[in-house]
Amino acid sequence: MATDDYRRKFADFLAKQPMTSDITYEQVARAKSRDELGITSLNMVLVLVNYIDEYTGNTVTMRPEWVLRLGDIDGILSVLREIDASAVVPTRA
Amino acid sequence: MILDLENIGIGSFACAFGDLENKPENIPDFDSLWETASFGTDFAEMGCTTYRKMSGPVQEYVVDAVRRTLRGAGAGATDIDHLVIATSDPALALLPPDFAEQVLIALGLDDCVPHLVSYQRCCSSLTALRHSRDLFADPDVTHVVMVALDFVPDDRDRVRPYALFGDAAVSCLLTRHDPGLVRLSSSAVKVDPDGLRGRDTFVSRKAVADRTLSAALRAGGRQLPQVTKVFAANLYKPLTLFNASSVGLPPDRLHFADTLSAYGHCGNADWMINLVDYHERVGIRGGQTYLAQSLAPGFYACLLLEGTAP
Repeated sequence: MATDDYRRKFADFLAKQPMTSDITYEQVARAKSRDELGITSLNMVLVLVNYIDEYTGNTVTMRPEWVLRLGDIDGILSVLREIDASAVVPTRA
Repeated sequence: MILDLENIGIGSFACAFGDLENKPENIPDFDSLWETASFGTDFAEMGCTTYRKMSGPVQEYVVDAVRRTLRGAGAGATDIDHLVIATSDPALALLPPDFAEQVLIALGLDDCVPHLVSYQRCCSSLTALRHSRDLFADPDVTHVVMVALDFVPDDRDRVRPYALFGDAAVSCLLTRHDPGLVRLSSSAVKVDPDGLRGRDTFVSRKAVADRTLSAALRAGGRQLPQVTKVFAANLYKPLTLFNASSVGLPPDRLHFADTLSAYGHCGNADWMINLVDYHERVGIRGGQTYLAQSLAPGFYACLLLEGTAP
């Protein structure tokens, strides 16, 4: 999946989360950093937790090296890509 | 002398929780407070069901905990050489100026030197345990009581973006001639300068956590896989699990979920509460390595403890 596709997937996922439901794809497309989207540390953690549940059935656990990439959007997208690649069951979407 | 200090027994832990049990949702203006703290996160995901509130002066709970620690160890008030009190910075500001005197007199600790360890927020008690152990460098010292306390008088101040605060005082006894439950293998506390300035990030928090954990493991001559259980700080459940994962600790290595649900985050006393709970449910085993861990904006602290039970 290309980076832009992951940006779309990330935006769609944020729209389904109660704490980030008002963030639009256009905002995600423009943003360079998580702060620009107003996503707090707690909310970012929950987004990741929920993403891992939704797309891997909790077959993936957090990796220490991912933590360093959660400040900017490209880093977050790279983490989502690695989560999907690490899933030991077929992704549901 | 160093070997002697390493064999100081630590045990007879006793918890005095706030006597009033309450649900977070019953805190006045909870919905508004939570919305401000969390930006729309579902509180049900945080793992906090109830918390405890102290209805009386905090010194009553400290005295209760220490009394039970002494009773549990069969020690008398006259045996105690030092009393080391640890608290986080906000609670320190709430203590009466004669707090130590009140506690000493109520307990009959007439030949006991009081100490205070603070300014390291929720990491204060980890430093206090090391300080308590180091007091045994004086060969005349045989018994030291350490007590961690934290409390929040106004319920509206309990709701924070990273944790829901509860009230507790937890004590333990360090002894020269008794193996206790555990001994202190090593300790480390480090500062995150970005956190001190309110500008901490995932990167700065991970950096200080990595530095601290590495220092404690190195000083204790241990590797992370040797840690049997982690007694963590009771931040919101997703944050606690995330913080552990960020330094390579598997989520199933943590013992915190049930105490978080029942008591919330009791400031710098959490690791002791979790150790006590684990010992009651599973048992601290001799020769096993345990990690006590806490963190706060600007700080990260670790203790490596070794079980001493036969």
